[in-house]
Amino acid sequence: MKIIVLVKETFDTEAKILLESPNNISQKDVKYIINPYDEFAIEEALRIVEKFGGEVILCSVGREDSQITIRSGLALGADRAKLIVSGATDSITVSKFLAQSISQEGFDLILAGWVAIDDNNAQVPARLSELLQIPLVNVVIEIEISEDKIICRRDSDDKIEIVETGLPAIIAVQRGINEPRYPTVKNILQAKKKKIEFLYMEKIKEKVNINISYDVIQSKRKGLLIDGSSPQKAVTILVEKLKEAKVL
Amino acid sequence: MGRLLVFVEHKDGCLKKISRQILGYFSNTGGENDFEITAIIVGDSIEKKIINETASWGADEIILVEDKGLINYNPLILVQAITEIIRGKNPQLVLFGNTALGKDLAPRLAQVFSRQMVSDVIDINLEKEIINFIRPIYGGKAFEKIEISSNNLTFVTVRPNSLESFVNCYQTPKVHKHHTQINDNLPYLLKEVIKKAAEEKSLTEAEIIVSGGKGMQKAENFKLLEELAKVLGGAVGASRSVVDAGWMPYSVQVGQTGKTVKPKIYIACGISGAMQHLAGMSTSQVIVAINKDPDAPIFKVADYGIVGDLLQIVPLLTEELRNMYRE
Ligand SMILES: Cc1cc2nc3c(=O)[nH]c(=O)nc-3n(C[C@H](O)[C@H](O)[C@H](O)COP(=O)(O)OP(=O)(O)OC[C@H]3O[C@@H](n4cnc5c(N)ncnc54)[C@H](O)[C@@H]3O)c2cc1C
Ligand SMILES: Nc1ncnc2c1ncn2[C@@H]1O[C@H](COP(=O)(O)O)[C@@H](O)[C@H]1O
Repeated sequence: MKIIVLVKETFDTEAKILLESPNNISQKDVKYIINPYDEFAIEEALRIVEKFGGEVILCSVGREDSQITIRSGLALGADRAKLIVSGATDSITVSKFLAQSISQEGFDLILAGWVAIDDNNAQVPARLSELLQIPLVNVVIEIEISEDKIICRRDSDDKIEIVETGLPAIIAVQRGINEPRYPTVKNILQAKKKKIEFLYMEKIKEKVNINISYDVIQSKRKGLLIDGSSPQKAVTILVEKLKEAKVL
Repeated sequence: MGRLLVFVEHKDGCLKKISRQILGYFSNTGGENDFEITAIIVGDSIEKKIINETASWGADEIILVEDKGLINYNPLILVQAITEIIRGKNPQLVLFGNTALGKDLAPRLAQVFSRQMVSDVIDINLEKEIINFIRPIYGGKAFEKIEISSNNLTFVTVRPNSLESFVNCYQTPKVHKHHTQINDNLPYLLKEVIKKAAEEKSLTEAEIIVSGGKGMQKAENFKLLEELAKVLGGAVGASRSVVDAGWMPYSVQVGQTGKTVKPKIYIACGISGAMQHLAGMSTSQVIVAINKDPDAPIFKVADYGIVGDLLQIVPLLTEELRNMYRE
């Protein structure tokens, strides 16, 4: 089975967000990681291939330097990677680039994370399913693959839905699906020799009627600390405050 | 004059809160951008009660997509039906709640039309020719402000409890049906639906959440939080450490890799306030923290904090509130 895993490089979850200008988030001194949901996707792909045989190919739209992050995905056991280097970060263009290179490559199954923790978009898997005209099962917490069908458990707020689909398909995974492995020393060494294919794509400048700016959260919270050495007194004060704030 | 399309979600004969919030917000914030609101209701048989409630929240027009084949959610059928409706109505905005359904449908539709989608917005402002959206990114550590000219077709999902809704006077909307041809041979088949346990349900819609962290010390102590939540009519959440320890199920994890919540009150008990936890709750209206460590980072984002032992404080707080409600 030929499995493509979509991998997005994101800021480390601990990263401090600083603005260079209102329209630019600073990338200085930022540590990068693979989007945590994509790690679940890689793990799932590895497990499927361990069972059925095949190949795991990571596919990412990012920066030239994303290869460092992608390499850490190869160290988990993926076979090779395609890195589309482009200035594009918007979902429409990223999905278009992914669709182009993935359909050239060919595949049986695509795995992705359901959301990227940086842009919080949750759009690329759905867009890709429309572009490639293959079914998407979204927010999946369990996959069972047999000869000709895939059964997914999907987390849908207050319900679990069990969905059947066939191959090829795209499945966007949610935490809970598996526990990702750690890279072994052997795999880290091997990863250095694995192939990353670079593709350079230029974003077509469109007439944009969209303007994006950023604001970094400053806590506008009251920050009132109540001494709890007399718990009863503290609790009474808290309830008073909540009443004053009109939330009780 | 523009047109808004609002996808209305309903459950057990009532509109979901998020749908009331979206309808109520736009029917009262017309302003210079006087929008006509078209609501889409989907179901196998849609009760009159739901239609009336949709009308009472200010829909100018209601489109019913009714078919036995719609008893269970299938994105392929809904994408087809909504695509047909959009083509007929030419709306500027198509709005969903940022719910399981909205998160799944909106980006598919956005791609059908090759248009922008603005996910998980917490505020919308209508100006003359521009619509402004605010949405959290980087786990709530920053906010993105997006301005789009209001005459473009744009898809939006709205985070529950973000828009203020007002009860609107009843409109007498035109109600009509939209028929869509359902293909029985779809490559996406819903086999079974399993309801989750009642206590797991309400987290994203809950008005009050009492959440516990590693400081709860053991699974049994979560009983204290359940009692507090019960008095407040709220739900219980947890940090990842608690979920990893197996004290609570993953479905109640709040944070970057868990649920994003926006209740009126979020009470964090024995939670240190790691960034990844804040990502899930930092937009709550009021944050209360109970922690024995005065330097715990959670206090930096809290409105009210009590420094002390939660095993003492939580039961007293439950008692205090119980007395208050009794009076
Ligand atoms: C990629 C990634 C994703 C993550 N996603 C999430 C996520 O979605 N959600 C999440 O929550 N975390 C997430 N984490 C984990 C996060 O970094 C923290 O480790 C976690 O939130 C800590 O949980 P905690 O606050 O319960 O535990 P701790 O950090 O151990 O804090 C326990 C707190 O309890 C206090 N305490 C102890 N005893 C008492 C007492 N008797 N009375 C009062 N207070 C007491 C202590 O002072 C301390 O502040 C993620 C981490 C990573 C790397
Ligand atoms: N630039 C990208 N390169 C590769 N995959 C991506 C990229 N952006 C998003 N994805 C995939 O789509 C998922 C959802 O991302 P998003 O739509 O940005 O929230 C991610 O978890 C990735 O699997």
